[in-house]
Amino acid sequence: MGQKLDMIDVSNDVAQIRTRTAAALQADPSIDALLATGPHVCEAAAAAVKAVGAKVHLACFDLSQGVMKLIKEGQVAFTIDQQQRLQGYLPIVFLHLYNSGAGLLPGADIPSGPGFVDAKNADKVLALAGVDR
Amino acid sequence: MAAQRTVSVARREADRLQTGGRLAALSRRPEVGAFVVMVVVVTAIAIASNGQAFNALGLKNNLSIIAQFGIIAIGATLLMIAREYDLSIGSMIGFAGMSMAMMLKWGLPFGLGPATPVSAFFLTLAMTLAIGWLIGTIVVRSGLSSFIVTLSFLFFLRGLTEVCFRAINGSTQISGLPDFKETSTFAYLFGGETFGWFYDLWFLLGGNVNRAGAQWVTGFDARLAWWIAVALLAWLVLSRTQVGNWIYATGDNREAARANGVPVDKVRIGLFMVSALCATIFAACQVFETNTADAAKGNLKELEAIAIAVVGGTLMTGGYGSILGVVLGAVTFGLVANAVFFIPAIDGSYYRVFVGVVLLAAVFLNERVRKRITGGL
Repeated sequence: MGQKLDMIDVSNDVAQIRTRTAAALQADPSIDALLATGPHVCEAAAAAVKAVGAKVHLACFDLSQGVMKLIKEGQVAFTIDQQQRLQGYLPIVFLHLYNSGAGLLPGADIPSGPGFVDAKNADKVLALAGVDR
Repeated sequence: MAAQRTVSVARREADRLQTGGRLAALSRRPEVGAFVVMVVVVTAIAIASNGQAFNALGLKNNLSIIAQFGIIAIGATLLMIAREYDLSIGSMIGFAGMSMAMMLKWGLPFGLGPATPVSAFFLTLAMTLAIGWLIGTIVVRSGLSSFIVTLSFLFFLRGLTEVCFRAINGSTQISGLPDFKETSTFAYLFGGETFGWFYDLWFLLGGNVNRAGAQWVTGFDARLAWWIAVALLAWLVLSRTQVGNWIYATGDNREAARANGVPVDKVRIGLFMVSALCATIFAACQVFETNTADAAKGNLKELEAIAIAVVGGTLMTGGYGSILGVVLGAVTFGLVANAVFFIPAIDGSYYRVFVGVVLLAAVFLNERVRKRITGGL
């Protein structure tokens, strides 16, 4: 969308994720949005945003108990659920239909996402976490 | 005349060997290489980040990373002085973190009821110390290189961590535990804050103000206090006790030390347990700060710990090294690993390039220093 993107390697260490995100936020006050690419990165990034006191739109990938809590508290705007149920379940169903139904196939590709989780559906998703979500 | 007489009184027999002035004596200390590299790195980062790296939050965050590097580096250094390596530090951190978080989430093993931070920590510590003892015993009894034995534990412990996560927890991370540092003093000791007076004073003096005009940072992360405590203890033991002499002797000439009655094997086993202790403290600080754990925790930390020991002037061949040097090395390494992200003009991925450069520069500098001290050995 034409906006400047700065990608930082925050490592896999929860303490370093927090301090490096805080460093980047402090170094460039014009940053107005963060996209964290994992649930533990998301939780550490939320702590960094809080410590710096920045007004930042924080969005994440994947679900965890901590991320759901942050969404409900309003610290994280939304997270993107991979929807593994669709990724893993549908292919098997389609393969079965293809084999047993003389090449029966849906007429077009079926997207498995993106599945957004935000404050509106967080509670419902949490109830199904580990089962259907 | 009078001045000359006092000088001659202060001289001792040993001073006969001393040549040159105070500066020359300073330049022979093992920490001098680490100190020079640290000054260069601190100055460069302060200038390049417009001082941001050392404002209230920057200082706290940098010291947080420096401290957690420093804790494991001291364990690695003590082992290196005794001419052993521990490549299992990173996996030990992962194992300890998994163990503590798992107990806090699912209760104590064998149905002993729910865990408190105290019982989770000490039960985990008992396990990691036992593993450290096992590693040490295997190394001592088999005569195999500790490099190989601990390498196998690097894989073994990481695999065990993942297996436990999958078998018990069903997922490779634990998140959303209750905030134990709010309710338990013991958890606060690891995951809370320390030296709050420093930031209170800073605020009173007019600094440390956040974007809303109130006090910004309230204290350093608790691991800073742990780092200082571990470093002080290690320094005391190394330079003031018989055990310290044993450690140096074990790394220098093992057979001569054994012949002189140094319990070489016990020293080595004990140091592997110290290394496990350092890894457990590292893990406890992270678990109780973030209330999370994941299977990748501590990945590659063993190599970073050894790199810091080397930057701090410890020799790979044993028998030589200093705690002060490693403290300075941790400052250098932690800053390079964290403060690069204060400089928007530089892509953060360059930090590993800098780490490599700093490591090599420090080793060259330390080699020169060591040759001067030992007379070219």
